[in-house]
Amino acid sequence: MQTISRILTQAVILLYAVAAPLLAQEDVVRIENWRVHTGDDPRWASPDFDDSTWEASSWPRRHGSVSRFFAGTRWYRATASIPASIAGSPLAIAVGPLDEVYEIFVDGARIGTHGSWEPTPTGKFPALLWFPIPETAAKGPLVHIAIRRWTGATRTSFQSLAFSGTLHAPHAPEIGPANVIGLQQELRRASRLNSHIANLIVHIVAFLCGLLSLALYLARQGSRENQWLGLALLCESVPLLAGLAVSQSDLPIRAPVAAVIAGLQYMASAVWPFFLASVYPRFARPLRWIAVVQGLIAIGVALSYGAMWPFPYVFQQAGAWFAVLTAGAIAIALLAERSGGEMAFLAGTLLLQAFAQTWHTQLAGWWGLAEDARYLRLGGFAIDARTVTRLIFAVTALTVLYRRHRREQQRQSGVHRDLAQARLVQESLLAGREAAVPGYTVEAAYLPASEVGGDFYRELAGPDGSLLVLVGDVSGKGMRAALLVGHISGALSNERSRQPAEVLANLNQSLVGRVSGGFVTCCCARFDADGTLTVANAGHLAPYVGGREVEVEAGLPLGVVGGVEYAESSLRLDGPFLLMSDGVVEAENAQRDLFGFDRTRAISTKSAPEIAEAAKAWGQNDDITVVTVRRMG
Amino acid sequence: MMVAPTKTKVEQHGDLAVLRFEGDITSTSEEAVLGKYNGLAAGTSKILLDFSKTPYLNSSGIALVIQLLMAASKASRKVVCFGLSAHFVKVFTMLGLAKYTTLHADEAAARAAVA
Repeated sequence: MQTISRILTQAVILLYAVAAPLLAQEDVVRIENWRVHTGDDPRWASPDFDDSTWEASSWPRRHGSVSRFFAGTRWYRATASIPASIAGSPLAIAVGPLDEVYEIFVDGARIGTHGSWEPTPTGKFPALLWFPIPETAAKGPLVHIAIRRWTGATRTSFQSLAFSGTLHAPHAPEIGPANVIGLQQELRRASRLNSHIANLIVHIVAFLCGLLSLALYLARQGSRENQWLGLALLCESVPLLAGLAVSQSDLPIRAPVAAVIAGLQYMASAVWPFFLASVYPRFARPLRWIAVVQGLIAIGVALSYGAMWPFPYVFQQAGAWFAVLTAGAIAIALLAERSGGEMAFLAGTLLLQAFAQTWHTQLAGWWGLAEDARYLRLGGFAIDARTVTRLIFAVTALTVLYRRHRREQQRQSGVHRDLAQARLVQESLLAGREAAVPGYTVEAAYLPASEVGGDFYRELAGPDGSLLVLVGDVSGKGMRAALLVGHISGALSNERSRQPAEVLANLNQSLVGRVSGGFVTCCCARFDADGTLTVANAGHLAPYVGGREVEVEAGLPLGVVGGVEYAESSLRLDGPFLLMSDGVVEAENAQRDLFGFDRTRAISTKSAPEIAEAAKAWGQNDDITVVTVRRMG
Repeated sequence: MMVAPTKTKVEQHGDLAVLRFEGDITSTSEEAVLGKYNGLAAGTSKILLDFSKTPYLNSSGIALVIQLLMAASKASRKVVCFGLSAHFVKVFTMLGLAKYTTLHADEAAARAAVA
């Protein structure tokens, strides 16, 4: 793109150098003395028609009593005196860019047209045009020029409001030698194209920034500010890119297309407040109201461009002024926050953008600045201040988001580091294997669903050679559950009893009032040296022995109410013993089928890692803890 | 995994209230479970909990149901449950909740239990 722009710039400079001697301005006559009249009559093209009763047309605001916002057909007439120096040489007329449909007559002969009149007037994007005058048309030193022009209730040309509907923008029509007029218009066209390319680059950058922001949003679900920034930038850049494409095409401009492009462009003003609200939630309420008003204005603009609203420009004017006023209010509010340079920058660039928009579309017209004078000149480029300020705002907003993203990443990495250390601590607590108990082998598998888990298991050796095994589950996940596991681990380390029911009752007492509305399930099993198994259960899954579920009396979970007594069941250990958390039976696959009790029973004689991995492969959605005990010999 | 918010429809018939849950009951269901329970009319003495449209309760969701049962027990309100899947009938049974509620296959059986 830069290469194209550089080539065009060089071409323009070269053309200027070559054309300068040809552009003898004294040979070009600017036609200023226009008269205007509304209505439509083919006789008005005649050089003999007396237009003395018509009103004079004056730049910049009005054509006599005919508003430049007039909808319908009007005629302009003027007389130009051809200098003797060019009399007899081929002549041409330069006009435009004029909206929307017009045709030009010289001494009664039609020499050119823009847009089409039939079956209904349909405009094209206004262009700088020049029309050669046939030798037969200009009959003397005085030529009579008539322009028949139609403009709709709303302009479908995306013209700047400041010069839409006028005849004199960016300057009055001119007549002169065909070669000079032609070259002059081509130079002007090249200059305008150059400015379009500069703007095109900026719009593409804004478009890419919008895509980047949306990509960041998708990468970090929940980052609403990225979502709104991306949408706002796309709302800004897509219609502008579409408008540029239309302006460079020769296609007729249909009202629905104009409605969509213009409506979307104004809709960006309704999206920006949502972005600001996501960055500064403190102002969310007033910003949403601003967004609602801007949204209504955008709908009104779309209706206007779609020729479905009888009062043209009401919404455009309202939108421009509302934008600058609200941007000012927002900027002042953000500055008043005094919470950092970021906001000051964002507020300042927002205000700058709104002011550039209002200056270009409103103030410059009031001050009578020609269209060309509203652009910044930088080398060979003519740059639209609105585009530049828009880009500055977008880049500032992206920078603010990037800095926030970096801070959040640093915070997250700190949290992850803390969680990783917490996990190490928790694993050391869980691996509470006090001493190997002769006659039994214990195998455990622990797969937390996140960094730290709410499951726990312990092996406690009794002084009489018995082995106590506990598996439990704190309701909920995350730090709260992990901290409770730490508490339970401490309580079990201090537990002197080796009777399962007593151990659970003591643990229950230590947990009452500490579970914050949750609960803890736990199953405690004691293995005696003679192979007797004694089990007490506090709301936990029943154990399996030799592939069968052991029937134990259900007791309330721990921590719910105090003073609970738990029952014990005793049996002979005649096969592999399995105790697990509900992360096994409630593993859930993509079809939302639970791993369930039947599948668990079917694999209940396998090793602890095999059972845990089977549940994980099915679809882990909770901590998984599996402990197996086998009697040797 | 995305979890749809729990919806609760409350039907009040004199001293009988029916809380019909729809969707998974998880840690985010506090308003749908305890909030709706706390909003019941003061004269409510019998409560039916309808789990027929609740495919899944995780441990945090079960904790909410236990809190509801404890609160109802303190207020001398009778609570019966119906519509639980076989899996969760087993889980509720293992949790030792028989002291606080009874589990029934369908609404007719549940209504008969509080009649």
